[in-house]
Amino acid sequence: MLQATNLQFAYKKEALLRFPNLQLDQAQHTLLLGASGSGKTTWLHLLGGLRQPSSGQIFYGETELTALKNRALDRFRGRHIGLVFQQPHLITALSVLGNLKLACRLGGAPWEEAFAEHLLENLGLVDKAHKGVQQLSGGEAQRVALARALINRPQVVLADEPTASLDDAHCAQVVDLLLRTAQDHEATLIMATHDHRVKDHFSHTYTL
Amino acid sequence: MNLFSLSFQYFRARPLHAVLSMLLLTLGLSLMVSLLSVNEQLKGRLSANAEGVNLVVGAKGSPLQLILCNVFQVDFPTGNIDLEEARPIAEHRLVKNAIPLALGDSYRGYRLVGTNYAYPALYEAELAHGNWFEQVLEVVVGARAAEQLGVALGDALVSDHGFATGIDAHEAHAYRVVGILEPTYTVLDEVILTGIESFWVAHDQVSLPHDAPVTTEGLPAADSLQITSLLLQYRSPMAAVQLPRAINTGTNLQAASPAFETARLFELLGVGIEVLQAFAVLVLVVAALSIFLSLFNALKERQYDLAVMRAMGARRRDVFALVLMESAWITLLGGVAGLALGHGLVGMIANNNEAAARIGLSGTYWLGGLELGLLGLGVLLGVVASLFPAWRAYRQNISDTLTKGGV
Repeated sequence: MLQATNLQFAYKKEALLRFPNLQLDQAQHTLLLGASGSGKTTWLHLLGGLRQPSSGQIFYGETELTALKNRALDRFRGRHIGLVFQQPHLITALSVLGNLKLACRLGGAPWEEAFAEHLLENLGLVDKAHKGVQQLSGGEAQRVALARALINRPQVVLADEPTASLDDAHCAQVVDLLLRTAQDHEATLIMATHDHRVKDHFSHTYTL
Repeated sequence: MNLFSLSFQYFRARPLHAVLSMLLLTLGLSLMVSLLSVNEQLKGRLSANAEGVNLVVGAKGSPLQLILCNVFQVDFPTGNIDLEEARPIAEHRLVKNAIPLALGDSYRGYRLVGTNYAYPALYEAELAHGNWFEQVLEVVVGARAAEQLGVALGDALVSDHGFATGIDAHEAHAYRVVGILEPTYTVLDEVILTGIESFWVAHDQVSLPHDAPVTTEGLPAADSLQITSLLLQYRSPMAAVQLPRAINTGTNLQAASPAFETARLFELLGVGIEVLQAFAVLVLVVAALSIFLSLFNALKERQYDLAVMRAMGARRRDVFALVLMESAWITLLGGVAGLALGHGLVGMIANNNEAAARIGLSGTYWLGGLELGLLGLGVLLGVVASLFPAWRAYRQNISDTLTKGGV
């Protein structure tokens, strides 16, 4: 389903980063493990099409992500890839539902009210749907970010260090939630982290 | 949830910020609108007063004063002229119509104008109550004068000599109010009309019974007496070339053109208005700068939002448009507020300033396309000011921005 080969990336004047080849099947949740500063986020951004690699190829099924440009790339990313960042990065001017609707609109996917409600229910956010996101707690905001990543029914959810700032209990909870929700919605979770606490939750691990 | 409504949500989410960024624009535009409005209304009012008067003939002196006194009823007369001298001019073949005026008295600050029926006809005046003056010492009161003085039909008015109030010089000859005019929104609203003979009687220059008729058209027959001026209408364009010179060089009288003197007056006023307009333009430029700065700062806070939107599939031009639209919201609302404030300002001046009320200044005077043009200018300023921030948003590297961490 996802295949990355010979990925390389060089920041200006910095050493070339080489990334291991990836070969993932549908529902094969995967951990990308690496120390801080090793380039995990860059790796994830390459896979998400947020950055163009210096060389190498990324395939999502039949689609070569690395061959897509501009609008086509933006559209593919919006439609098929869900992103969860270290911080929730919600749009503060909008409500919880507004954030989901915006993701839908920007991703070019049809808006399904029932699916959105279902998602929010799964994440324990039903009563927050019409709240402004500034009124949410940190955990709630992170769950909204997860709902947003899933609203367009993506093939893949890329999560960047979602547990970095959490204590052990919450860490397990969040990883569990991510895996369960991705499973429920038939998305493949790829998580980049330096956090060894989460290793046991994944059967597939790539180390940078 | 389209970009248009999203841009409005951003605008709404931080009302104080939005209000602050549009404040200068609002002020600049309101200044501009109020200046233009006052200028236009003043011009309109002046030209309405001078409408139909091609030339004013009076005693020698300042031509501007002659016009101000006889057309706009604001300055003092330059002196009087003999009817004997005025008659040949009134009967000149190039003159279609000559309206005699006798000025010099007032009632509690409102001018008495001795004339015939042609003068109110000039302004298409109609009676609201009563009749036109027919006998000596009968008066017809202009709409605003009647309202301000609180006079009614049948009242007796004792005039003051000159335009100062308090000196009851003509007590023996009280005027009788026989008519009140409908408003004409010209100088006619501010005066009290009577026959020319009434003036002579009030000044004891002739002795007439109180039911003697006054001259209602043409000039009175008495050649030995005086009037203040003649308002002339030309019969042909040729008159404009010949008459003023003929009068100014061939007689002891002076002829002045209202159009020319009004233009001269506006040239003098124009300097002040231009300075104020330059000031308003300056405020608008500063407004554009402030919108630029506020958008630029807002963008710094919002770079994550924009990067996340890009990550969710937004095109470069979507975020470009978003920044532009938000600025358009700010400037559109700021602009509308500016226009409203400008009209409010003029309305406030009109309500609190006697002189402004006299010239009929109104806050609801609509400048037409000019105002829409100003609104457009405001929005354009906003769009131009937002181009650079929008371009930055367009160029922003999503990955770099998100990697920086932050909020």
